Amino acid sequence: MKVKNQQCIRRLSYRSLWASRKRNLIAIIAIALTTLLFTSLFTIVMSINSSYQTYQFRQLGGYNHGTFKSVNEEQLAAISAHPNVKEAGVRTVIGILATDSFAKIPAEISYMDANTTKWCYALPTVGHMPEKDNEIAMDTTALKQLGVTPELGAEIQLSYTLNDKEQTGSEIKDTFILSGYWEYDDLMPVHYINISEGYLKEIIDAAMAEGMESFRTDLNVMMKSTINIQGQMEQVDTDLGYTWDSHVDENSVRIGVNWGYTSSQIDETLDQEMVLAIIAFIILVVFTGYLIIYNIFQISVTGDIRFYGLLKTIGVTPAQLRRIIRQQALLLCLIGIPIGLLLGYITGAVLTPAVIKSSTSLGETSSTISVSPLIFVGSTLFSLLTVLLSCKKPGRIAAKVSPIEATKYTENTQTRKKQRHTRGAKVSHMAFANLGRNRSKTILVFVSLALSVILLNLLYTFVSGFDMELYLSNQTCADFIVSSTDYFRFNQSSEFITENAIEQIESNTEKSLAGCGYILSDYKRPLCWVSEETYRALYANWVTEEQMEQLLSLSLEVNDDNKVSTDVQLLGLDPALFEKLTVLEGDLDSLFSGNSHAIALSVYTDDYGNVMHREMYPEIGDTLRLTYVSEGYYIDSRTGEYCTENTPEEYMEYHISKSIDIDYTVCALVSVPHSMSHRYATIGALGAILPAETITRDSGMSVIPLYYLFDTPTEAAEQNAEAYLAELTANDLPELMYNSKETLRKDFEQFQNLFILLGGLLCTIIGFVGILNFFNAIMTGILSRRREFAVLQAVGMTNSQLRSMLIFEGLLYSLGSVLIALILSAVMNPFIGKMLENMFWFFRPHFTILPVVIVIPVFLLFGWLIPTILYGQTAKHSVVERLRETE
Amino acid sequence: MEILQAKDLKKIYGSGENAVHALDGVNFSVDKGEFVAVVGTSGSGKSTLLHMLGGLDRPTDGKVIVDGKDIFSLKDEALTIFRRRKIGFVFQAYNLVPVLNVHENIVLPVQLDGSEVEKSFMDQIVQTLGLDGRLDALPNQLSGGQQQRVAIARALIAAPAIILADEPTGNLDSKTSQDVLSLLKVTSRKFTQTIVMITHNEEIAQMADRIIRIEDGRIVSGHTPAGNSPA
Repeated sequence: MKVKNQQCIRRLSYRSLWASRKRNLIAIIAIALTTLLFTSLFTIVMSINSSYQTYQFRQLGGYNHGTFKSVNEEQLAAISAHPNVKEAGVRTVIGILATDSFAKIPAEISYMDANTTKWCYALPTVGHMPEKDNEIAMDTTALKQLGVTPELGAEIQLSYTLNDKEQTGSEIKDTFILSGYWEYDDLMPVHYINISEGYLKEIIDAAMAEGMESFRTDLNVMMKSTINIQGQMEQVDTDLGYTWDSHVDENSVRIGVNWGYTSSQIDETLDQEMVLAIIAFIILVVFTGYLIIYNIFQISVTGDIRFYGLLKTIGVTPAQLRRIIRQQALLLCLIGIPIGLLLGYITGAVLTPAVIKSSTSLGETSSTISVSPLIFVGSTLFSLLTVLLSCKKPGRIAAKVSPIEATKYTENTQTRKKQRHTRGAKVSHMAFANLGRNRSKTILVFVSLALSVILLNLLYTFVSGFDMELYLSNQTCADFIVSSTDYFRFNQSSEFITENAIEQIESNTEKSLAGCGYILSDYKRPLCWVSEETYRALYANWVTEEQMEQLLSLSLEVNDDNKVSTDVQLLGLDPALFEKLTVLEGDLDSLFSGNSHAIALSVYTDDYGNVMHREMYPEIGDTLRLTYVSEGYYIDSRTGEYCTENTPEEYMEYHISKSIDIDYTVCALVSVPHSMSHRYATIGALGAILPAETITRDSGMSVIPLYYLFDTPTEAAEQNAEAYLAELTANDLPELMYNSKETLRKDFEQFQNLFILLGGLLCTIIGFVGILNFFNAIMTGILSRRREFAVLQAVGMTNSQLRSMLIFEGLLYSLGSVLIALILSAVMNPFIGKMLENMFWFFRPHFTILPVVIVIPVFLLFGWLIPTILYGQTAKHSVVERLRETE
Repeated sequence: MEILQAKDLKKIYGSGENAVHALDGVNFSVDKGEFVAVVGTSGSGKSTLLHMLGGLDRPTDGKVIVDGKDIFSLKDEALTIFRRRKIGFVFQAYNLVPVLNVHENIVLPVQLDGSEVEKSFMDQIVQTLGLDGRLDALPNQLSGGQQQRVAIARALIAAPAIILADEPTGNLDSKTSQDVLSLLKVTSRKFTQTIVMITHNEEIAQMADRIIRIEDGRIVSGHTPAGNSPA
């Protein structure tokens, strides 16, 4: 029975929906807007996530889920056939070029099958993969370094040593024909030089004849899903009877998981505040959508109440009535949601690059627009949820209505006893009374209109609260800081900025202050000896009690004074740069007095410049012994042997074989601006500052410059230096990067613009929704009271009186919402300002209601305009005509 | 055989001083196939009585038994379903669904119930009421008399136990009223339907088998008009 009457119900829904097209157009727009907001949000979030992934895949050189390492023919076939493995591709490396021009980024000469080629971003954009024996493909940068112009059919001389990771063979020299090439991607860790399968066979045969083993073949795989790739791959090994943890066992197939998949999950790339912001946004959108969609259904149900009563007398059950309303809503969704999805996706795609550029550390080039179906599924679900929520109550009202009352229904339901007054029927009083007829509807319009104004005010407060000078002074301590990209991206490197580069910059810029920060070369790191108490304080924030005991028991050799060792994060500075430090205790003079052994310690300060965790630092005047370790080794504490690749971290014990001890006197506690520090912290390490010369003198080791920093004397000089550095880093020394006040200013503006852009979009849409609601309320107000108006006119109300009554109503709506907006803004702003101040350190809240004030005339204009236009349309029919209208 | 029974039916609107006794203990019964007219002045409670009989409104006290079933013992949902199977309504304002055409309006109660209309029965009703040829028209394209005939067809289609007519001719001129009423009577005979009709028009009431007079919420008399006898 349920199935059979469906069609009849559907017909009723559809026909009555069609009958009120105009009203439903507003509902469709509302649904589309709601969907638009969801879709653009999800597109941006998913795109940020996928951009992170792509970024990592490019850094790793491929996007296959994982690799089974060093497989033989038999294992290869077995693994490829395993049900967990969706797709597989082989790669055999026969040689590596790592000298001369390939010193920095090596080139691997290998055979890749079609799958691997695709997964490794090695598909030629011009030409094709090597097919004939002597064909070869590689990226343009590799070609350039080999001295070949990228042209299909070009002849390439290649000499290399036969080797893979396990063996080295003879020198080979061969000539190839270029069959394809592609543009090199700066993030890739390696240049791929791809040979044909035929050539690989030749080489293998020749090598085996020489007595070498066959080359190592890796099997790259795509698994069934991206969830628990490691587990899935282990399962494959287990199922096939292999192990995965040995380098020597014949029967072991080692596993490598692409950590791009494991580390770039959404929860890691988005911090908690971001997640909260997203949730808040979703709730806001659901609420905004609810406000209007509910309102439209509510109004249409009250408007059609007679129709529903009529249906009830014929025998439509309450459940069927609810279904009719729900089906109408879903039909509207059918039109509204696809429109919203499309527009939302476009909006999201347009905004994503801007968001990625200004809110993540990824470059603009790595922004990829996600095409995940999750975006569409998620947005559709949330929109449906909003719509279904919205039509729930109207459905209940329609279902509850008594068929008898419905036929007599006029919109006025709960009138309280009013004080009679003798002021007469003034138009303004009538308008006021009219708004009171349906309080909940009136309040709904108030709230939805007010919401957009409140948001606008909030956005304005937010953006205008960004303090650029505060941002600049915190972000940088100098006009220019130049170093390699590694320094700015927190990567380790054996070399940052070279002496040559520094000289080049020095000779081309004007400066009032300049110098370098230094670190010990080869990442050698001195140790220092502190009391157990200090040690515990240093580690307290980083490790658990348990780990603390383990650390204390393990790594530390207690020396004669009962002291324990910990790392020192040592920063050497040129004398000029000491000016940039803030001295909190003691003074720096003794650092420079002849043969002194004074040392300054860098400390963390809170927002007000006070030392945090004072207990972590020794007192001024204390002696601090530094041990400069020039040679050391790790042994396995279980066996006493040297550590191997397999030694778990907790058993690694450090031993020093060659070192120099120096006793320093702590002369000062200083705070180092973040921008001229290491830019990262080492757990448990004590930060120390010494003049660079002192470090070389005392340690007997060399130091390398970490960065070069300078201030310019004039604005003109600053502009020149800016132009010079931009040019230099773009062309001559692309490995260098610089931070300047100017670039930071731009970053900051970009950041600010992002919020203006996103917030503006949100305000616009919510404002639009508010106006739609307004429009809807006035329109249905006129439509449903057409007969009443006719009656009023029949008893002598003039057209212009009627119009001014409607305009009064419109103005009351405007004033009401502005009033609510004013009150709520005044109450909420200080509170939200505090919250923002905590979230963004460069935010200085200041109270304003300027946007609300600016919006007042706009709202009044709408309040006047909308009723004027709408009433003009109804007034075309004569009073008699309208009186006769039954429905 | 009694198809409809009202037992001590009371409906009170408001309370205390303002209480209005719209129905004040109404008792009567209708046999199968009878055509009963309920007459009374406006405010006498006749419309309230009809609403109670049809289960459109719940009484303050008393029972209505249709085809052996106490209809107010049913929950709303069940009552609606019972109503659309056992009771057909004809209203003064026709109450056709404006967005559905004549054919769809007629078959609506049956389809809502999830069943199909027997075609021959449909044809018979349509023919008897002279609606053939207008089945595709929308209600607002019909005259008042035609609309009321559609409403009668709709009331008949589910072959209900009784048909309740609330001033069925109230919106029609006297010629059309006569026509519609004759049709109502003829079809009810033809399909052995029981009809309870409300009217304030004595002339119209005279066409019924029995007239029940109601005043101030009470039945004052029930008699059989001359020349009419129950079928």
